[in-house]
Amino acid sequence: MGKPDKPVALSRASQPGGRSRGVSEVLEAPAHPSELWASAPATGSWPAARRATPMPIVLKKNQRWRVIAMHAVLLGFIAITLLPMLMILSISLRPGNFAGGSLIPSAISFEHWQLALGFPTQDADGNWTQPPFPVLRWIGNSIKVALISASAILLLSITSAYAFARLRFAGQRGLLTALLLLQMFPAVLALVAIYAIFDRIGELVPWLGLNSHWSLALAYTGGVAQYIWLIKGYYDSVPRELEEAAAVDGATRWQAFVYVLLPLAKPILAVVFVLSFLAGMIEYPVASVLLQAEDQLTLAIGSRLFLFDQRYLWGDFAATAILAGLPLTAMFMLTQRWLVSGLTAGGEGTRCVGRTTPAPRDLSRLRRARCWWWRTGCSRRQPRGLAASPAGRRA
Amino acid sequence: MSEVASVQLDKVGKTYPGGAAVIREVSLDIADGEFCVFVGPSGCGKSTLLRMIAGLEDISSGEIRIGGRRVNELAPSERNVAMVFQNYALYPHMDVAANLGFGLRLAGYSRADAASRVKRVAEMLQIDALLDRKPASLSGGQRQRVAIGRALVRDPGVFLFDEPLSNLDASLRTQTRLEIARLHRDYGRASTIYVTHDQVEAMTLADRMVLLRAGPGAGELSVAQVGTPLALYHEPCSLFVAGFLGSPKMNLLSATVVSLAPDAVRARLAGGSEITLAVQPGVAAVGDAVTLGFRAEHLRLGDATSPNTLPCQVQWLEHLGDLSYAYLADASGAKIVVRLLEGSRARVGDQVHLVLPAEHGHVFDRAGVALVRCGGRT
Repeated sequence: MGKPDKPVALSRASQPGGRSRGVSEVLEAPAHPSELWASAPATGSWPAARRATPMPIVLKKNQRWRVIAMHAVLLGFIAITLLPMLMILSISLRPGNFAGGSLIPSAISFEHWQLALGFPTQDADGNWTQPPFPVLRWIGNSIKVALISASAILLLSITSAYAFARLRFAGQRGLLTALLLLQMFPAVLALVAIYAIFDRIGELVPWLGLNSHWSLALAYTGGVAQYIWLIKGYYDSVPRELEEAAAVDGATRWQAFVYVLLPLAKPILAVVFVLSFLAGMIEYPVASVLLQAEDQLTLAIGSRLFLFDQRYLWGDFAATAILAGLPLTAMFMLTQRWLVSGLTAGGEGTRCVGRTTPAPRDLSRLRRARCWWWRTGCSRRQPRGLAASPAGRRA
Repeated sequence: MSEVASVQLDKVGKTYPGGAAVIREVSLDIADGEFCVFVGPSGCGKSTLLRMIAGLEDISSGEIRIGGRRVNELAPSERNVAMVFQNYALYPHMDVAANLGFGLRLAGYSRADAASRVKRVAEMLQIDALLDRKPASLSGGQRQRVAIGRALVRDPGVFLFDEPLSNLDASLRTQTRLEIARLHRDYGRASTIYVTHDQVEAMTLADRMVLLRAGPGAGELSVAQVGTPLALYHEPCSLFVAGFLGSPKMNLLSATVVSLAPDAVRARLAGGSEITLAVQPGVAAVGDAVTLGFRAEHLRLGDATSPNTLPCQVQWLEHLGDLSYAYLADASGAKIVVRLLEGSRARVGDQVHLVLPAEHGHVFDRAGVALVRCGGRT
């Protein structure tokens, strides 16, 4: 370079607003247990020390242009992400069932929303249209199935992950690997088998046969393997000494699990519950095989009925889609506090090179975060401050 | 109030499935109210032994008795022990009061009962102002106190400490060390087992010190020597103990036995000087290779006319204020450290005559076993 770069300090104001917000959210979230475990003599309470967000690093002069370019790219990216969402909203508010047209509708009509919510509508000629499908009932069905399967998955995965993380038994490694491999096959491949199994079960236990929400929830619960891995990885990052201390304090294994380990694992439990709930809400192939009666359908398969071969009810479909997103949004709002700290646990309290996750705000991001989590192998995380090998500490 | 508990270890051993024998036939008898320190180099299994007493590791052979009761098969909660962990292991999601009261809550104490006991212990440790704080907002020393309080509040028969001071800074370590000693003295009834790799902690705290040896040496047992700290310091039974305790390390010189008397051994050093040591020869014979040991504080500089001298050259001096250490080398190149008191005029490069007092000499035979010293304090 011809002339030396003049240092320019980057003030907080010139930082991307969204980014700093994300950071403060992470900081306010409950810390990961291994973070609280910091063993060095503390000179003060760490949250106060950490809240100074902008790093006081002196930056090169061309940093400003980079920031501007970065903003442009990010804004474009956000626009691409938001466009489909806005289009669906626009279609649902537009009179008639048209997929095309301008983003801002020329006339606003709530006919699709009325139909989706189960009210008949009257058009300009005075003809009454009855709601074509029981949309609210479908949403109810979806929530029911997703709640049952998410609860079952949570119960099964917290306990089996404990076994894999804390107990020693024959075939442990083999079983873990088997879990990993088995869940790599898409459930779609087993559709025929799933259908045949539940058809057969239904002959003996009618309420657990075809066209039953219980059987669908049971089929979804089969996807527990990846959550076991997820939770096991988190358990591994909680120091064993905590449970040992509880044991010396008089706790049984179960008490140490319930009073010490589970409260510390709260963030990951929220993550697992939300992810499995989400998976139950949006699943299509298995539900389409197991459920046939119209009033039993979940929303994911039901909404397909809006799109006849001869006539596509785009408007009704769009209103239904937005309606379906509401319970999920509500759930994310409720659990966001834990979700953020659960999903960023790796970056905050444990070592894993080169990973940062934004606070998940929407479904696609969360799904991406899940894939990312998966790839980086959460089970290999090392708690900070306990990086020494167990053998070294025991010496 | 719990019963006072002695701890007996009877040929306790631990072998990992891989075949490594970390603990080899440890037999110990720790009396009521005794402060026993396990010390040894890293990897000697001292923490493992402590965890075996606590019940956090199972044992492969032998028997552990606490208060006369065999506890091999008992869970940690049934052993009447309390433990302070190296990293304190405070429950991060509970405040200090809940941390202290956790054991009481599990034991089924009433809320008021538990609260009053927690309060009493907190006052004793001066942490009563912190009761509603979470561990994350405490300093290292405060966490340490809470960890100790959590052990005290249950009023156990045996206290187990696993390197409790190793995460504190130097000044806090000294202060906490004194405090632990005071607590043990005031508490009186319980026996304490304390694991450390720091010999200063071991020397200052222990009623009795157990020095453990690392590595599965051929047929060697884990315990190198048991006794009061001063006995281990002044009468080490083997070369390993002599080399482990003391700072600076004991000076060790190889030599050959030239003559024997009922209460003296005369040996020739590698440099050719012959010196006499006040030890009983035992099974040693003329011509045996031996190792002589002298502590730095027992050596002094003299002149050529004194008996038992070794000509040396001063290689380096360290001045620590109240005393100095001189690093010497003799004709054969053996390195020797001498403690000099104030006013010594030695300079680097000086030729000096080092006096090796016969009554302070240790002699170790080829296998590293010490010969009995005359007038020793055994």
